[in-house]
Amino acid sequence: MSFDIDSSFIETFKEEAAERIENLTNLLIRFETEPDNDDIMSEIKREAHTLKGSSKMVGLSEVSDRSHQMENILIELYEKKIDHGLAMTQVFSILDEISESLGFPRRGAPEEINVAVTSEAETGSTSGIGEGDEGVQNSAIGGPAGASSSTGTAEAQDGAQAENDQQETRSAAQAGLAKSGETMRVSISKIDKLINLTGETIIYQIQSLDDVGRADELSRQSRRCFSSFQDLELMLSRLGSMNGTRDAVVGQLAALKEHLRTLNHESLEFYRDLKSAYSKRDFLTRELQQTALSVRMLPVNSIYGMFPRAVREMAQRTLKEVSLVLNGGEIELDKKILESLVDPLVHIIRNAVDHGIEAPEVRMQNGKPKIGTLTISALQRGDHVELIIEDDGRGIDPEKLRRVAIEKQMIRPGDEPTREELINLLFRPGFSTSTMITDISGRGVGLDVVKKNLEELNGTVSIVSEEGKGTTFTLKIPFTLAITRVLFIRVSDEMFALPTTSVEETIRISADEVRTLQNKETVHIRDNTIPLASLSFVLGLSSEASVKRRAGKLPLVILRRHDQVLGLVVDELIGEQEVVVKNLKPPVDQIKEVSGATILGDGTVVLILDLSNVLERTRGMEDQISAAISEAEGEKKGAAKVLIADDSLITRELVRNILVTCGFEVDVAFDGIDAFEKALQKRYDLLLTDVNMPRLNGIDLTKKIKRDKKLGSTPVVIVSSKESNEDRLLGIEAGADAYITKGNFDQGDLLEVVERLIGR
Amino acid sequence: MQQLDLNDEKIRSLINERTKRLSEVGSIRDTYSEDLNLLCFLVKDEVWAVPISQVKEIFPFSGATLIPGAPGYVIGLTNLRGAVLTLVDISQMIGVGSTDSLNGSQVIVADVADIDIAFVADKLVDIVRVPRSSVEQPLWILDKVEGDFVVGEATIAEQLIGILDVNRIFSSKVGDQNAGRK
Repeated sequence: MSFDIDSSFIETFKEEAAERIENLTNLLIRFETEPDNDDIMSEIKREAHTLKGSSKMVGLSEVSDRSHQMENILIELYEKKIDHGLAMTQVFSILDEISESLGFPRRGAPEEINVAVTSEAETGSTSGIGEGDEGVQNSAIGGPAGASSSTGTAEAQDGAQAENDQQETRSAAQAGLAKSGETMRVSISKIDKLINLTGETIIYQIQSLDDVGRADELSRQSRRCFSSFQDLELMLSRLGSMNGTRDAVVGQLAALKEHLRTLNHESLEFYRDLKSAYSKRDFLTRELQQTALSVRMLPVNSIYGMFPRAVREMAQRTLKEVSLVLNGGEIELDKKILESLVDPLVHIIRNAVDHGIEAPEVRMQNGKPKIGTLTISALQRGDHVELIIEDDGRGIDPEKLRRVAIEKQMIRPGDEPTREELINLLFRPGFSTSTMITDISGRGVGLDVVKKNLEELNGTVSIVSEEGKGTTFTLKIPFTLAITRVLFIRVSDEMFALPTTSVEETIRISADEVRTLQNKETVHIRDNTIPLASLSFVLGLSSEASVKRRAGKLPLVILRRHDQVLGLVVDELIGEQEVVVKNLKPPVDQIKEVSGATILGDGTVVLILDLSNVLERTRGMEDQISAAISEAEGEKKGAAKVLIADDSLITRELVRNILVTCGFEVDVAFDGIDAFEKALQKRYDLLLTDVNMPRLNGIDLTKKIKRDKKLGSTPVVIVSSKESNEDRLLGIEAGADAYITKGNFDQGDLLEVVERLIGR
Repeated sequence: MQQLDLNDEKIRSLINERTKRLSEVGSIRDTYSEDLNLLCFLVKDEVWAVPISQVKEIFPFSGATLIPGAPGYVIGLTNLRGAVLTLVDISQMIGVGSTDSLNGSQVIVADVADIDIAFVADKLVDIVRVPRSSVEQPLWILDKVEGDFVVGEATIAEQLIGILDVNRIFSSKVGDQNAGRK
């Protein structure tokens, strides 16, 4: 026997062993909750034995020795000669060693899609879908003590499921031994090649739509020929006979007419045939593409498999009792997407077990079931899948978040962010709440990484939490990465595709709506000030940064990411289409602003832009853009400094945002005293103040400023909710340069007043 | 040339790989066939050659999609029967200037593992067969171009022609690119 055959045996063994190990893991976890179920035990022993036997056969002595050891422990356990918990720990660590010596990654599937074997066998072994069973897997996890006190429903489901699972597992094991006929393993590269070819077929299909159009035109043309011929014939018949010449001409014309009639008929037929063939082929190619893509799709179950054990271990280490419920395991997603979901999911699950679910004693004190429930559900929703991770733990404490946020200077002590705003702070980079770091979940990665992972998949993540009741994470993920919907646009004569997931809206504005403030071009759309940037300048295709002097309407693509918004000015909006995404290869695969390419019907390659990186790049170029615009405006000016004094967080933030967006440098003060102290420390070009404030009100602050030698010349704008003339007069008497009422508060007015007073 | 950091793992593995390849192939002269087939082409008014074994396909240039932010030697992307191909300016890569006009030029698709890459020549000259024994060590041409991309020189029709190794050019440039980016 040659070496090659040996190594192929080992490969086959490895594939089989991977399934066996996963199966064993799941069985062991089930066994922990039902220590008296002999059926499970014998299944476990059989699996371990087979693993020993086959590893011996292919000569992997380390694996067979380990399996032998495992078998011995299992027998001792069966005969109750050894402590249950100890035995489990030992068996699990042996399984890890075996996995490691076989070179399996600790999690994640091997680089192969095990067509149908994975889908079916794993569906069987992890979710056991049977009649009357809603596809719910339920395993109570916790210390051995917790097992007997599992909640009623969980027990009932477990019981009903035990039988199901048993059968499924057995048939899965058989499928593992005699897996021939219905299924086969295929390498990913072959599948991807297939998907690529389908993509190309579609490109040609789109191209042939043009041909159909041309055939249509052809048949119209020949019909026109025919009808103008008929006109000619009529005119001729009105002419008198010219010595028989007419008859000869008429004869000729009759022949020509026959030809034309045939041409007309044939071209119409040709167009109809071509069109119907096109429609049929269109249907088939789309079906072909769907099917090819579905080969890459795996059920969510294929990653669910690893969670029961992960949760079990986390629960044991944190002395919690957790029951894990997995729903919707049959829903399918692209393999690559599924794999990229593992890390975010593990992170969220860790958080839930560690921080969400309370210790058993605490839960009982609070009148909750002793065992916490963690539910992961996959749901199909139109063109995407939702993964919902829900725990019934203590929920997120907004006060704790507020404290950390203040500590990290993300908010100010006096701020009153809403509950939602506080929770969303969790997604900010650097918001790793140090007090929360523990052995389990504190790995230095925060939820910002989870958010980033999801964004890379064109997905989103959101949190809803109710104190004392629990926390719910919702992940939205597209089915596949191979096809995406894009908006085609043109800048500097080049066409680009923008993924529609990142585009908030498209709109046309006229150039005179563009306001230049502090060297930033902005536009007002429905009460929002949106900063503008020229896409061709950002991409380095043009040296003109300003968009103001362009002629006519400016097509605008508005992007929003977290709290950032940007209007990208393009030359032309072309239209939306679903396209096949092609990844770029070296040396052009590292360009951040480009995420891939697609091929149009006419064969042109069009780049697909990565809009979050385009946004990032625009932010990085802000200074450059301002410099270019100020040069264009013919004046040099630094950012003007404005101080806002207001005791209401909402007004303060509202005004601050407007001014910051327009390029001002803005500081805030909480009352009159605070404002005056700040004004003494730093030179401001303008002060915006509220009237009613604690300690020192706006009127007195204005007086104080105006009387001060140093500060006297600083323009003061009073922003008040009082509209009466007396109040206005009071303000003017105090020395204010302008008085704006909140009642008819308008961004444009505010900016105009500020610009005018600063005198730039 | 950028300063190479020898402690950088990527660069070290690149150098190792290159050393390995050099020791395996030595020079093109050492491979067993008696004759060497060369594709000769014109770049910036000079004739260069690549072994035909390193060429997958040749087709006339018909436009490319510009890539903002790409290295200067990248001309753009083009579609070859549904595959996206990166077009590069070989004159910039070997350091003899840069191509001025792409009209009428020819695209030569290189046979490099895992990289869909092609370079543009102003004009194809000929395909010639030369005895391997007539390929000399590159002495004369060496000081004209960057790096060790020239693997030999041969006299064809009384003209001394540099023979380029496509693999070395692309793997080194792609390597530099990635090392520089990290």
